[in-house]
Amino acid sequence: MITKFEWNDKRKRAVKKWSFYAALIILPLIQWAIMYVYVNINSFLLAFRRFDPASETWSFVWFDNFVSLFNDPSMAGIWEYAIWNSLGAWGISVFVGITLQLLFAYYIFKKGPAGQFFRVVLFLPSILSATVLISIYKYYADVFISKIFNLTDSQGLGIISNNNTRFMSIMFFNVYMSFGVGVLMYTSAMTSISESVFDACKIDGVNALQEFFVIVLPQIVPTITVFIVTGIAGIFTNQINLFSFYQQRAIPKIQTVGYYLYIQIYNNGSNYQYYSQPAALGIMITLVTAPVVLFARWGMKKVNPMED
Amino acid sequence: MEKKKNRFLNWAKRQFTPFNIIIFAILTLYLLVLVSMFIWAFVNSLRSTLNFSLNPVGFSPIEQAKIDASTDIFATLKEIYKFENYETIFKNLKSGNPLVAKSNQYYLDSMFMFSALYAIGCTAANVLCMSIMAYACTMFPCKLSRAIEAYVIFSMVFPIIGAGPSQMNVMRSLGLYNNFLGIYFVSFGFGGTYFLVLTAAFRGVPKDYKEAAELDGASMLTIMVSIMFRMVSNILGAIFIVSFIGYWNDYSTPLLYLPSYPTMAAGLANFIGSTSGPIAGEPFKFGAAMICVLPLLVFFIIFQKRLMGNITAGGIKM
Repeated sequence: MITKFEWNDKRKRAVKKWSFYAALIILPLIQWAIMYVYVNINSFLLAFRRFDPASETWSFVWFDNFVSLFNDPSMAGIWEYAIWNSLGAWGISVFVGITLQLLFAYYIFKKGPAGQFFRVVLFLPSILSATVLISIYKYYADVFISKIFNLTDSQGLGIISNNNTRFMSIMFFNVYMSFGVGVLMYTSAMTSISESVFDACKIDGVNALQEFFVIVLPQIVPTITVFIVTGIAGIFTNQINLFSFYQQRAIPKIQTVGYYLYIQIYNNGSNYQYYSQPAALGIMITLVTAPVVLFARWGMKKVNPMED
Repeated sequence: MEKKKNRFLNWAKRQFTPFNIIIFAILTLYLLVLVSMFIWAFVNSLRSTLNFSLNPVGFSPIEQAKIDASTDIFATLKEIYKFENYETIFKNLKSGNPLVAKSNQYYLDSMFMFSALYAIGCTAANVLCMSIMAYACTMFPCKLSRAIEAYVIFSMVFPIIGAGPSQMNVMRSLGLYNNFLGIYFVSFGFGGTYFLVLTAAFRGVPKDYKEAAELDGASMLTIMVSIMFRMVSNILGAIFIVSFIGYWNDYSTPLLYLPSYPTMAAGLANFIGSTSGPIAGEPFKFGAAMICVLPLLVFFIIFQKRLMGNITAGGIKM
């Protein structure tokens, strides 16, 4: 039987507890309401509205902005190149980037020669500004590497200046600089695998590659899932550092959707009439990406033997 | 002696597997490219623009003629590789709002200050908000807490694309555009991977500490700040350092939302694209890059163990 005094005391404590909880979350929630909820609702509305600079008013144009995405000649580059480049960049970073990250992580985990030293070396580019690295790499690849390895074309253009090799040279840079955090995460995930599993492998005479594919890889699928799913979610926001390479002047052939969207805001900061088309494109791409991400997450969970 | 020999042979057998040899070779190549890139840039940052354009890989004809005619090779090399380039960069490297014709121009010292203001302020706002929300969600389990955690995962998996124009619109309307307080407010968000790392960390703290403090009559704020935050201080520290580096290096946000206050990264991004002026040549660009690398390199050397030791401390699962 609870006395009235005890009940009052309990109630007082509950009020105190939940008041403290409310005090903690109120400010972050206000920020979230403005910078996430309101911004996204506004973005949704922008896709259906258009700004008239003469009268300085907004009007509803329904699906005109979406239709113009297909009709507007200035959007041709998006359909012809940007979407495919974004997908290509993702493909390269997954198949080349993640594969190498996993192999490097396994090497470090198995205490290969100078493993700890390479761990630091691989992490180093992650802490340096992309702008700094690009300001060097741009000339190093275009002038030094192209000349030393005779990669210049008939006109004397290096691999960054040559339109045919430009995109791959930029992707090489992106993959080259992206190992740090991934390698650390995968090494950490490998460390959490029970020692007894490796002891059993040793007794069974399993070699390094078998151990990697049969034991290690299945055990770290959850960590790989995080990288793949967040990677898919970021396909169309990734500008593959094009702004650092070319500022606003990247040629359409190498542009990605992320770069296009960034440049639209950068160039037209205060010109509201240019806001609607990127907003419409964003909504369309979000609608396409969302089910793909869900499907990938579901698929990764299915292939994860640890889920059983 | 035999024992030692056997031990060495066993060690060599373990280390020099085909897999190790291949990966070692790839990693060595990686290292060589990285090191040679910086050495090449540093050496060329000391040359004149003319000599670099005449021969970016070796000595230019002018330099070669000087070397051939010299009797004191060190004095000649000193003449070719000049540290004065750095003095010129410090005197001339400036940046302003690239979208405004006659905007205020800021030199490196001001850009460094803007970088510090931007990186420290945004990191503090972001880490504070994330840790408060992660604490609230783990220590006060309720429907709202679960909804917040679900939202964080949702926002990571489904980033809403193309919200940039809308964000610009909202920031301009609310007076958050082009001022530090505005950008701090935008950074005061709780979404992202580190929120999940922090919730995992708070869940990992044994409840005994909290219960003992409650018995001693500690207030909820004291328990949060003095006990729970202290228990996860290693992870908080690592997140702070990683976020700080991210903000320090970020050029895209300051260029868009803080254009009148160029940070070092944003100033360098503007400078790389410049084609005219006294320091438009490539050697000056390499020099500016070297100057920007230095603070972070020092930072990395100081915090390397803390940074790399704790970055993986929290488990993430989606």
